[in-house]
This record gives sequence, structure tokens and C-alpha cells, in this order.
Amino acid sequence: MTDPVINPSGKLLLRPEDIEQGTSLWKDAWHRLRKNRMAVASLIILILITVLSIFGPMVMPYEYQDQNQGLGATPPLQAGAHLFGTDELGRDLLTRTLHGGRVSLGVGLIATLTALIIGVTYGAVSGYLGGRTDVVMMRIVDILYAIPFTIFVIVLMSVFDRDIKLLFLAIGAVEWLTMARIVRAQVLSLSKQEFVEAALSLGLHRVTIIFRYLIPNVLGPVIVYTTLTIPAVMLFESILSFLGLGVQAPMSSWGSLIKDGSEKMDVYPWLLLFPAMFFSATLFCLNFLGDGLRDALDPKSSKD
Amino acid sequence: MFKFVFYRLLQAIPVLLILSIITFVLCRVAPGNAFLDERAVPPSVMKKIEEANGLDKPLPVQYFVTMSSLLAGDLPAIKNLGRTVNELIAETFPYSFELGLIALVIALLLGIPLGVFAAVRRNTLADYGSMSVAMFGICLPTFVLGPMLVLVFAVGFGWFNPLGWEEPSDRVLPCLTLGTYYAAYIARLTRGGMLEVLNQDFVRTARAKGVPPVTLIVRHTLKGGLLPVVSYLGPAFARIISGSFVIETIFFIPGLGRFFVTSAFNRDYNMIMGTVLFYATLLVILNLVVDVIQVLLNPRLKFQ
Repeated sequence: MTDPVINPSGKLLLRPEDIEQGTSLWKDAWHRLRKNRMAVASLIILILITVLSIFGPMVMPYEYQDQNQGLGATPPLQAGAHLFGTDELGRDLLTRTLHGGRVSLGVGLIATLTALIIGVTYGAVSGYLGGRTDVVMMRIVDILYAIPFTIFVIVLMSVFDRDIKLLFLAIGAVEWLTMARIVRAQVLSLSKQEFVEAALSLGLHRVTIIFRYLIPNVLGPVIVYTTLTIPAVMLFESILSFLGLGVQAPMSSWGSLIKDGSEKMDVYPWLLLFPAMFFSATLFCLNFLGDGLRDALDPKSSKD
Repeated sequence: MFKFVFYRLLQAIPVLLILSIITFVLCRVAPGNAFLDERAVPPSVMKKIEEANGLDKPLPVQYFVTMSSLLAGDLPAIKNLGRTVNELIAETFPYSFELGLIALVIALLLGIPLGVFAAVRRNTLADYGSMSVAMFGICLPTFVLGPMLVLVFAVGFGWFNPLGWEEPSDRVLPCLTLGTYYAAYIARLTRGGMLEVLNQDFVRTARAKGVPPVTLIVRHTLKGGLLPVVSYLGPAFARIISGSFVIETIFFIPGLGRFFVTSAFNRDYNMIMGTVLFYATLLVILNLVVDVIQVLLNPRLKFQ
């Protein structure tokens, strides 16, 4: 403890560190998350992969669509600077993998963000308004749940003429349902609490209450579910690539590279191995980070 | 309970009705139609084709005609001449059902013990190890795992046929491929559910009384710990038995799964309507079954 500070007028001033600091939920959570070695390692690897995917293609000596017909498919480290080898058109696999990372991470982020915005707003409104509105809004979610994903996205893709950016949005448009349910359940229990009543009695508008009071309080479960949605979206993109609806050649995504690689895994195994490694590592880390966040944000787990 | 089931079935009718309208409108909004071919057709001929198929009538009339013949069982599949939608579904569903059922049994037999094991040994190396295995199952797309299993066990060891669905042994590889993802998911759900239960007071009481660990798990906690798995099984069972396009393509199984994709690709409106409503009905029924089972398992819940 440091000496008390006395100001010229002779009054005792407390230093900020002398006051017993209450820790916020976020500080607590961050503290607990830091102790979870798996989660921290996952976070670091994720940042690494993201940075590599964004800046890697810029510094690589090859472009993702550059072909070298004379070279053909070469195993890793056999020709030139092809660290991961090349595919049968002589395209550098490392460049294509990193470029694919941009697309896949992009799909994951944009589609998840779309799902997040729709789902959180929809769920919060439904849960807060309650009553008949809530029943109707949740029945709509039930109905949309029953539409098979694939048919919906295929029809959407043909409406949108296979635009890659709209593909992101199309996936997001089908992934928000679970988010809406989670948020609704949380808001439903929150909206009965005193601080919401206090806000109401202050005369605040319902929109303000939803966005300033309720949504910040459901961020915990939302963040956790978000880290689990990103891998789901990336897997979905890979299945669309399997159906030929994903990105079009010569563009690459992890999904499309894995799909191409899995067709030739008996002759050119490295074409599957490297993209699959990046893909799996990312999904792995997102899942562990999600688990870590769930434990960290759960006040009940503080005694462990 | 019978009242509960009756009301839920009554609620399902508007859900299915609205779903069918959404699907119908979605099909008609999408560009292109089922009769477009690679060959260009003169507009006059196209008009005749559309007239012959009733496409010139107003949309509500078309919807009514489609629905009534679907319910009567004589809706023609546009891309399979001379066959009806109901015939095709009845013919292919048994394959998908068998595949899905075996896969789900495998998933439960693998997933539940793994999840229980991880929960009992919480935060130890055994926990991290088994959850990492589960994560691999989730991260590995089926179109990678399938060919990999074929390569090792069919081509390499020659134990199984690489594709087909004739001999009993042909079931092994596809069911294993399909089951792995679900096993991994079930393992994670089981672990979470078991942890909730294991933290409760009655477990401590039972331990203090000297109940042996195995009895404690099997007799006292498993029933409560499996609740999340049970609620997951409803939608999962509907999805798994309605067929997997990827697995049926890889292993050449004449199941229902391919129609979910090909019908959308071909704009076969009638087939889309058939598959969507078939899947939705399965989903509604299985969700109802799951809700009933949950009340039977959990004495705190009541039929509402």
C-alpha cells in the first residue's frame, strides 16, 4: 500500500489503486480465459493463421492462378520455392492454401456476422415483446428450421447467379435461427429483472431498452455460440464446394482445395494434406476457444 | 399426455402448410424451370409445354393442384418420366433409413461412453485427449473421411467393397463415415450434460453413502446427463435418416439424400415439394417424440 496522498488544501485523496476494485464480468472472464492454456494457444494460432492468410499471398513469389504446365504435380520441397508442392496444373499449393484461407475465413466471418445481426435482433425483439408477437415470431423460426439447408441455398444461389459475396450472405441467412432462439431465451429471463423495470420507469423507449440494456447482457452466450458458428459455416462452405456451388476455379477456398485433394488423395496426397491441416487447425482452435469462453463467462465455474 | 400430443399435432398443421407455401413460392421465384434443356426450345413450343403442365394457370391454382396431387400420391416427378414423387421417396427412403439408423446407433455407442469418460475425468489429460478426438470427428468433412476409409480398408486391406449396398459388409464404411460426425457431437453434448449433473448435491450425497463409482454413473447421473443428447436426437435423427447426399454419392447408395440436391439443381418443383414436406413431417414428428421422452426422463417437466 502506498502512502496516502494529501493535496494542498489538506484533504486526504485516495489513489485509484487504494480503492477496492470490483472486477467486471469481462475482467473476470479474461482472467479465467488466460489461465486456460488450450484457449490461449488456440487464440494465438488463430491470429497467426489469419495474419498468414491476409498477408501471405502478398509476399509469395507466385500468384494463386499462376500455372506452370511443364512442372505438373510435384511433391513438397522438390521444385523451386514450392514449399507445399504444386497441383497438376503447376500452381503453387502454399499460395493457393493461403489464398483459400482468405475466402474461407471471409465466409466464416461475414456469414457469421450476418447470422449474428439477424439472430440477436430477432431474438431480443421476440423475447422482450413476449406474448402473441413472441409466439408468432418463434413459430416462424420453427418453420424456417424445417426447410432443408441445401435446397434453400441452391435456390438462393441460382437467384443470385453464384456471386461469391452473396454466397456469404446466403449462408448467414440460414444460420441465424439457433442464435435467435438462444438470445430469446436469455432476454425472456432478463426482461423480468429490476434494472429493466428501472429503465422503463425512467421513460426510456423500448428500442433503447433492447439495444442498450438487454443485448449487452446476453453477449456472453452470444460470443460463445458465435465461435461455434464460424466453424459450422466453414464446413457448410466446404460442402457447397463439394456440390460445385462454392467458389469457382481458379479461385480457391479451403473447402474447394480439400474437395479437389480428396479426389486425388491416392496419387497426390499432399494436395489434401496441407489444406486439410489449415482447415482442421482453424476449426479445432475455434472450438477450443469457444469452450474456453463458455467456461470463462460462466460465473458458476469460478471455483475451479 | 394424449392431450399434449394431440395439440402438438394440431399445431403442426399450420407449420407444414406455411412451409409448403414458402417452398412453392421460392421455387417459382427462382429463375429457370424444369423444362429448360441444353437445347434451345422455340418460345411457342415452350408455351405448349408450360400449358401441358399447368404452368400457365394462376399461382394459387397451381399450388392447390400440386398439393392435392401430392397428398393423393400421384404428383409426377418432372425429371423422372412416368414416376410419381411419392413412389420415388418410398423407393429410396428405406436405403437412407437403414444407413442413418445404423450410423446413429454407432454414433450413440461411441459418443456416449466417450463423453461420460471425459466428464468423469474432467480437466485431465484423458478429458482433453478424448475431446480432441471428438473435435477431429467434427472437423473432418465426410467427403474426406469417406474416401480415406475406402483407401485404407477397401483398397489397402481389401476388407470391404469400395462402394455399393448389397452385402451386409457394405454397410460398414458408409455408416462409420456418417456416424463419426454425430458421435463426436454426441460426445461433446454428453460431457456437458454429465458435468451439470455431477456438480449437484445428490451426487455428493450418493458418494458419501459409498455408492460405487460405476453404479453412481449408470444408475444416478446418466439419466439426467443425457437430457441434452435426447433433445439433440430429434432433429439429428430426422436429418440422418433423410439421407446424406455426400455419403450416398461417394458410396453409390440409391438413397433419398441425392434428391435434396438434384431436385433443386434441376428445378424439379414437384420433387422439391415432396422432399421438403417429407423432411419437415419427419422433423415435426421426431421433435414431438423427443419432447415426450424428455418429460418421461425428467420428472420436473410437465406436459403443457
